[in-house]
Amino acid sequence: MNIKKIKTLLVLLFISIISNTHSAIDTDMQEVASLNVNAVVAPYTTVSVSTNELSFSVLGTPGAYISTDVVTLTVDSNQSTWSAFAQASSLVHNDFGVADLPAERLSFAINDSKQFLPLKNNVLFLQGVIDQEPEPVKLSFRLTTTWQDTPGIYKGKVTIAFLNNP
Amino acid sequence: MPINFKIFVWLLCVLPALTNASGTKSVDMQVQADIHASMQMQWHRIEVDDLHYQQMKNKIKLKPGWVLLPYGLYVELQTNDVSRIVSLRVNNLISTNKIDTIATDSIYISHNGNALVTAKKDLAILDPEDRGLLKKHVLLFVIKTNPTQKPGQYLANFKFVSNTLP
Repeated sequence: MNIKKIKTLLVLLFISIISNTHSAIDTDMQEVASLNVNAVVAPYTTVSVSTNELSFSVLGTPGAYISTDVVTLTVDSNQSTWSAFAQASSLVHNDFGVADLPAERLSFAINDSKQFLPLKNNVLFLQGVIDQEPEPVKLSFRLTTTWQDTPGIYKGKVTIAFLNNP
Repeated sequence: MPINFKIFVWLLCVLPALTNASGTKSVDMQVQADIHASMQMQWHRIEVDDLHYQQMKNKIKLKPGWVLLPYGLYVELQTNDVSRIVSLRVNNLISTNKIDTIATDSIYISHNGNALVTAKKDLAILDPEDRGLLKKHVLLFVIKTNPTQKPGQYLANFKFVSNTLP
């Protein structure tokens, strides 16, 4: 190859580079590669209660006694809707053979409400939606005793259950 | 792609969501109720014109020489304690000059109009089997007079005695 041809090739190469540079600057951005991103937002619900123990001290004559503890319940969820239910078990006496205190003797009120709902079955007491910031609720519990209740210590549990609706 | 495989893949995607939708979370709170023994009692003196007095007076058959005192006691009591016994104790009647007495040998009690019983022994007005029940008692007093008793005014002393079975 002679020098003339080489010069010619170099010139063409230079022109080509200049031309491509202009082309890259002047034209719109073109997709040269793509990257797929999958973001997985897992469903979650967090539930917290201020205490997991309720106690009633029935010192006087039978009647309605409010628990010494007020339970603060906080629910945080990314579900579109969710529901909270409350249920209680019967309170069982420490001594075998003594009649239980039926679950419906326990009732509860939300925040400062004076209306107590008996904990007979699953009681729907709270519903949330995703676009609403959940606020803590205060639950007060009440136990109603009668003269027929044998003195002593009774134990049971209250279950707060949550149903998510994604 | 075979249709069964498509269904399988679809189910694989959908099932977790369905599971989450029907899944529940729950929080248990332990409940303890301490019921103490309790008793409620109220009583008052009844006079001749009291309805209770009149009703029970009509049921009493007095023998000659027996005197029905012009007053009695109306008692209401109730307990949740299975081991509680409450009795009426009558002391000797003492004259106002504190010299003469009428012994309990001569005093009889009409309990709710039933047959007269001696006042020498304490009269049970609340038994263990009465637990939880509201018991109402009308107690009238009869003196079996005899020539040795001196005329005059006498003071009566009644006591309600509460015992607890071991």
